[in-house]
Amino acid sequence: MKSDPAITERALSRVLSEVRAESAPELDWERIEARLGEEPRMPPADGTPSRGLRAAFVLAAAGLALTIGWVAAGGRAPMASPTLPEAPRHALDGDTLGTGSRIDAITDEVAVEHARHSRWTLERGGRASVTTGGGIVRVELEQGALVARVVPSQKQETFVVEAAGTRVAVHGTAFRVALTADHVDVAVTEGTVLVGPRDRPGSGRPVSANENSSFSLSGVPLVGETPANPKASRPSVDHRGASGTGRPRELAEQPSIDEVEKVVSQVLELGATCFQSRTATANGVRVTASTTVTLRALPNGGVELVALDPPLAPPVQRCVLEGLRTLAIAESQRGIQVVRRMELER
Amino acid sequence: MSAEDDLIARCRAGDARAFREIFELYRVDVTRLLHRMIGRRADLEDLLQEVFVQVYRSIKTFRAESRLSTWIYRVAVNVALMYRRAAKSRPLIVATPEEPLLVDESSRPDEELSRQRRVEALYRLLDRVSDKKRVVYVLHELEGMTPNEISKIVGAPVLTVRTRLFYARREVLGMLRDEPSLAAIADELAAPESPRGAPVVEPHKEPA
Repeated sequence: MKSDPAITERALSRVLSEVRAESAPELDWERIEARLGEEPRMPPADGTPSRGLRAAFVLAAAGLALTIGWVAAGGRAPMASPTLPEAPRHALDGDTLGTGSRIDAITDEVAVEHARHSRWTLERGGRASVTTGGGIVRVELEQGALVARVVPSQKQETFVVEAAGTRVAVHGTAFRVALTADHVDVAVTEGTVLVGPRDRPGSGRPVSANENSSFSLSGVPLVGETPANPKASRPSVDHRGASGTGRPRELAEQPSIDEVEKVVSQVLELGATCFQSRTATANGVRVTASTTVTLRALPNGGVELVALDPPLAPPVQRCVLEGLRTLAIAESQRGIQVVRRMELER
Repeated sequence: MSAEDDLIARCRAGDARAFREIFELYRVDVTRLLHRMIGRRADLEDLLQEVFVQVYRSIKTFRAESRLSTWIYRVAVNVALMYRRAAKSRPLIVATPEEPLLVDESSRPDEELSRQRRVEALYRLLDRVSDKKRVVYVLHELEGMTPNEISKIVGAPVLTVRTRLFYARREVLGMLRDEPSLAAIADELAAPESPRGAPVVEPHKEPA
């Protein structure tokens, strides 16, 4: 049909009015707020850490959780949410790392950021090498543990962790992978990851949010999702000073409630002390924080911090981790996991 | 001090609640603008986050020479443009809508589907217009801003804005018939026997 400019203009005008009438897409505002609250590139507001912003979002979260639960180590709920990557000041720019770059987190954790893609933190004592290409970040975890948050994507997988013979593939989630002497632990906070044998990409067992599963070094799910041999389940890098020697022949399945309560009290006290000593304040301004702490009493008697959700300021968190190394609990067959609310005030 | 000044002052002082208020006040408008600037893309949420991170970072440099909303729009436009520039240098993964087309219960399903197709078609046309022209076109035709307001957002003289707007309109009009769903509506308007208000029947062919 012949094109009449006036008609075309009327047609365009009609379509424009239809577009104008469209409402804005509905997004997950809460999730965006949460992401803004933990935005790794968020700068200090006035030379001090961006605690103000974080605190506001933390306070909102504080009302939600009054979580007190006992979970057998390796159990499914209430979830041990991984300690997500924290302050970014020392984050390496992952996009500038050469292929196969090796990272050693000898004395402190190391954070790596791939712009608009992912951010992962190699926990202290860990060692990993990283390869990027084709929009995929591939981390080979040689030792220790890492925590990652990956920006959701339409692709099947954009972030892969290979630990021994186990492959963890994701395309948008938050999770933690820990390589121990005889197995690989995977804890997922958001989304789903696929864990399977390294030599069979695309196959394996999905692990979803709030799940915590263990796999053999070749990527096979362990029965009961706990290490088959607790004696051998010490972390490959034991920086807690816990020793496996002197283990009684008949171990209780789990530490007693009294023992666990004692350790929990020590941890809460430790948190309060660290918050007091490592939180800056001025003119008598009261600073409060609220977080959910997830602890794991290891079969070997060590005490491990699984998560602080939301995370505390890095100096406070480092202080807590330091203090935890001095704590110990009775050895047991399975260990135990505990989740507690921690209210802090300065 | 106006409520807006107070909000800005509190945000500058590091009051997280003030920042949250700003986010809640402008998130819908910014989302709509980003959506109109980049079309249906999966990265909308990331871009929105980026806008507010930049707002937070730069609020101290905001000199209140324009309204806060204008300044935030400026940030959003820049983020969208940066995104588009970066997108040109990487493979585009978005060929399909990120969500199924939803049918508005209040209108006839075929009518609603046709309307959504026309909206998608217009975004495809806008995608073919250069960044500078598309920005002023979107801000004027879809956001309803005046050339004066747009000049503050894009940092160009009003006359330049008007010129870009003129050429953008001409380009969009010239391309309209490239999209079958838009050509159909023009044909319907041109047909003398077409009863007023009759639904547009689209030809059974897809855009190339």
